[in-house]
Order: sequence, then structure tokens, then C-alpha cells
Amino acid sequence: MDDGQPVVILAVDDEPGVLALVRRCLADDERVTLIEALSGKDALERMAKGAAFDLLIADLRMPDMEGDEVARRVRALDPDIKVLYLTSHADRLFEAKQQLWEDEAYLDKPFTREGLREAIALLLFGHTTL
Amino acid sequence: MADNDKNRHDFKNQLGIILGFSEILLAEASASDPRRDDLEEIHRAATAAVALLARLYPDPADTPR
Repeated sequence: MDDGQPVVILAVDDEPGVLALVRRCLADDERVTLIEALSGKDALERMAKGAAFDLLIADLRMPDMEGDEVARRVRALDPDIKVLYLTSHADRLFEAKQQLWEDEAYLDKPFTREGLREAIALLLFGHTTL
Repeated sequence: MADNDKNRHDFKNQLGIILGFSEILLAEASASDPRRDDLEEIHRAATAAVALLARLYPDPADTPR
């Protein structure tokens, strides 16, 4: 994928306000299509319907299914998808998950628009400009 | 402890939403926008609340081992 191609992102967070913030952060970029899910189950159902995504943004801590479990199941359907975890405390991420895979990154909450965009660009394009 | 963790996470989420949106509005407001001072107060208060939350609900993961 190069920088000019459209990007399809699946964002899953049980807090609608966080999804609204992600949407706002990416609203100015016409290349980005954002699909939102309020639970891991919802996200997996979208994947199962055949939708293809370049990136999964997942809250690490959700009531029905933790973000790393969502990522594991999503990867089973699409091994090439990249994953950005949103976490309130990175130490907690590494308690449950000893290492990040090559195509994974995490972003601490609270996050800024620039921080989110840079993290996405790093994962998708290898540099910090989306 | 699990309840404290969840409360901290949920509260931080809400503060993050306030911070995130106010940061975007500040970035988009011109220097002469009369609402800029109000937005800065919202952003400052939310930033202070994040620090206050860390004091009220210290995260065990922050404790030196």
C-alpha cells in the first residue's frame, strides 16, 4: 500500500464518544473510510460479512471482549490487517500481552488528533504523515 | 480493585473525549476567535482532571517495583 491509496479502518470501542473522537480526527481525510463497532462481537460480524479492512483500531479494555482478543480473532480472518490498540495504561497491555507483533502498535489515552494520525500513518505507511 | 480499574478507565475515557474535542477545536480556532479563551479553559480543566484522577485512583502499575 502506498500513501495515495484509500484506507479502510475498523474502529471498535464500547464508548461511543471515543468512536466519535476517532471519526472527528479522521474526518478531514477523504482517503479514509471509517467503520465503527461498539463491541468485539460487532466488529467480528462486520468482518464475517466479508468487509476488508487495512487497520483495526481497538480499545484494549471492553466488557464483552478485550481488544487483544478481538485482534486475535480478526487476524484469524485477515492475517494482513494492522492493529492499533487504544489503552489507558500501556503497562496493562503488556501484562496481558508480552509483545507486540510487527504490524501492531499502541496509543495511550487520552490521545490527540495528531497522535492518532501519526500512529495510523506509521502502521500503514512507515512514516508519521497520514 | 477491579471496580477501581474500571472506574479509572471509564473516567479517563470521558476526560479523553473532552480533551480530544477541545484540542481539535482549539487547533481550528483562529487567534482572534472570541471562543478561544473558553476552549482553553475547558482544555486546561480536563488536563487538570486527568492529573487529579491519577492522584485519586493511583494505578498500581505506576508503583515502582
